[in-house]
Amino acid sequence: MNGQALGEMSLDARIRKMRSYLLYGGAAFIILGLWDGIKTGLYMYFHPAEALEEFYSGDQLQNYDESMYYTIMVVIILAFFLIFFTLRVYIGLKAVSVARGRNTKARVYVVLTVLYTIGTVYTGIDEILHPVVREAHEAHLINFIIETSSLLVMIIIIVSSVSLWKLDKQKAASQAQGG
Amino acid sequence: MTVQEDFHYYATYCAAYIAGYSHEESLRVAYAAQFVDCCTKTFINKVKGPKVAATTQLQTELADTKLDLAGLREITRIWASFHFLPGDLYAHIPRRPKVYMDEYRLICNPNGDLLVDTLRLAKGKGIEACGLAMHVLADTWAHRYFAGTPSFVINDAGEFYEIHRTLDGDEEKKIRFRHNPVAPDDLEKGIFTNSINNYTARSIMNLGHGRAGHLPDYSFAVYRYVPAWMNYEAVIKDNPVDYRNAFCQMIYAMKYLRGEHEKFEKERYDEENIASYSDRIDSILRKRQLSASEDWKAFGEELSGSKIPDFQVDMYVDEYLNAGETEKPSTFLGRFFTAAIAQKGMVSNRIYRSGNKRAGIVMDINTLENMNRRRLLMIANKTGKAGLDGKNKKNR
Amino acid sequence: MERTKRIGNIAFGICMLIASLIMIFDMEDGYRIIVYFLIVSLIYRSIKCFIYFFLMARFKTGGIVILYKGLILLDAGVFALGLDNIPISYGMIYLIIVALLSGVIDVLQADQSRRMETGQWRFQFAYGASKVVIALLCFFYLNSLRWLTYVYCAGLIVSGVTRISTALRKTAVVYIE
Repeated sequence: MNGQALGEMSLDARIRKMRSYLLYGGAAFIILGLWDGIKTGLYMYFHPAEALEEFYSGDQLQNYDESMYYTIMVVIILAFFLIFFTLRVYIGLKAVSVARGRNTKARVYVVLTVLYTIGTVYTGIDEILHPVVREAHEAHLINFIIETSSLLVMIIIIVSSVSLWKLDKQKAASQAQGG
Repeated sequence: MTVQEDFHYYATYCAAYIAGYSHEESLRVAYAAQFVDCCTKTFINKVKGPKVAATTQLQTELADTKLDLAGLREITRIWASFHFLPGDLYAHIPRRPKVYMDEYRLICNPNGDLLVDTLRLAKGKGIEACGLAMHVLADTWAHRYFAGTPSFVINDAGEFYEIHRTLDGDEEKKIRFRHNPVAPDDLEKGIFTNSINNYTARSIMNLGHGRAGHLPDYSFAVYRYVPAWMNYEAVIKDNPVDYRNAFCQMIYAMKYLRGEHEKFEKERYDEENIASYSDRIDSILRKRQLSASEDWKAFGEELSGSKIPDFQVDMYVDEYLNAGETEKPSTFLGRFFTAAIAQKGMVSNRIYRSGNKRAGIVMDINTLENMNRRRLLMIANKTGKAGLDGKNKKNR
Repeated sequence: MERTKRIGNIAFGICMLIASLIMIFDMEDGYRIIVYFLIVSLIYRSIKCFIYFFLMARFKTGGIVILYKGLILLDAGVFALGLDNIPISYGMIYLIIVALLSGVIDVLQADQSRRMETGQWRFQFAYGASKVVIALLCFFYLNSLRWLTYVYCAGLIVSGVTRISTALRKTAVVYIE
């Protein structure tokens, strides 16, 4: 009796499903970005030597000026946080907007999500193969879990965005035929 | 939950009269039907009746009921037995875990086996049982697609659009909800009140049709929405059609209870007896108003030629309070309480026998053939329970 | 309230009181106990979300929100694992923010109860408001770790006492009209 409704999903139902995934995914992506930003900032603040190694070569590190170092660190931390968090907020808000049926032609956010995903996978693999802080297994685990959560959400955003485009096209085509 | 006096009291009176009851009998049937929405533990405490006979819960009672296992079962026993009678306790969907199906199978729908059981239970038990059964029957149509248990995965709902049928075709208008239970619904602007979504598995916000507000109780409303259990599909709820079916089925059911039909069959509606009133009934059902009480009352008074008094919840309280202990079961309220206990026990037992412990472990009162009404009420009074709950045998 | 839940709440309340006392006399140990409580609580809630999602919510329209809720809670809990490796003063900021958010949620839920016209909203509102006030006070004492600890512990004591008194309250209060 109730099961009659649960056969193959109609086009409208599939569109609703993808919109739902995108709507909540966009919001979750922004919130998860907070942990990412704070984690990155804390890492750079409490492991300055390792962080510096990522930006300066061996010779340059020999002669660094302490006050200069801190200024640079603050700038870099802020820049990282701002850039990446802003990116996340942009992607998240666009995803929510598309999910609500506004801005359906937006594509840039998906490209950025793909790039972000590639970057996350790359840095994740790099961290596993060449860990900067060798003894901090706990830090690696924390990093891995937080990155994986973000990765999962990014994949859902990409897949549901692409599916939504296709389904919207199908719907437009069927409406044109019907009309 | 709203108290829909227009249908449960006045419309039930009309159906009872058309089914062949006299004016006085129809009033008692209608009173009993409406009283299902008033018989709370608070009321029962006032008349010192058996708490287990409660057929509804106040907002305050619900808010104070802890949503642990015992509380959940108590809520389910009341709401599934009287307001959201499950349509199919053995529904099956492949690859769904049992814990999900336990909630899914409590979805209310008309013409279920439990409805047949409800009417069989009420047969020969008097006017009060008849009225109670009519309330249950009417609610199977009004409250279909929702379950009488707090369930986020079943009772949540979204994307409500009201459908206005015009000469040029159907027009859809998005329904706006607000969360203020004090403010009345604004039909002009299409603003309705509903419960808040707090994304919690077991919250009273997700009990019954709270997420749809009062929409299921408005006979004029035709709307499209997406129920939580329907895999992103939308459903159209056509209340005028459903309420008409409920009305016609009540007439058929009451004829069965009066003995005019040997058995009660599902999906039978007495359209013949309303043929001459069809347009009148349709116009009442489709009129856009918060309450159709005046219209139903006028119709009922025309049918019987007698005045229909307004519903007074305390009408039979004095009779009950003044009766001695041995006479109480024979009073109106006493018979109503007996019927309520029996209905709750039957439904809860059927739910349990289907393998679903959502309503607890409940003994079927009707298998206790030697127990008479008086003893039943005395035991119910003492234990405070319709049967034995496997988890908690003490009075709460 | 079920007996097991009552006992659990009382035990949790007592643990909060003990942890706050330990923190007053030995800040580092007390801080660690509280952090571990927080980690366990957040990760436990995230696992509950995941289980609920896989058993129930994935069949629900819009049920993916439960999966995301679980991921956010998991991240919050896992992030707290790293608090042990950073100076206490920074870890305290995290704890204060969690307390602040918890207080705000309590206040919002109390408002919901008030709109549903129940009698219980005042107690919940007072409890939530006290958590918010204490959390905001903590921000004023960020420069003095000692005073920050005292204020935070005062909040813990209030929470612990509230939990115990809630557990000992009668259930199913029926209002007579």
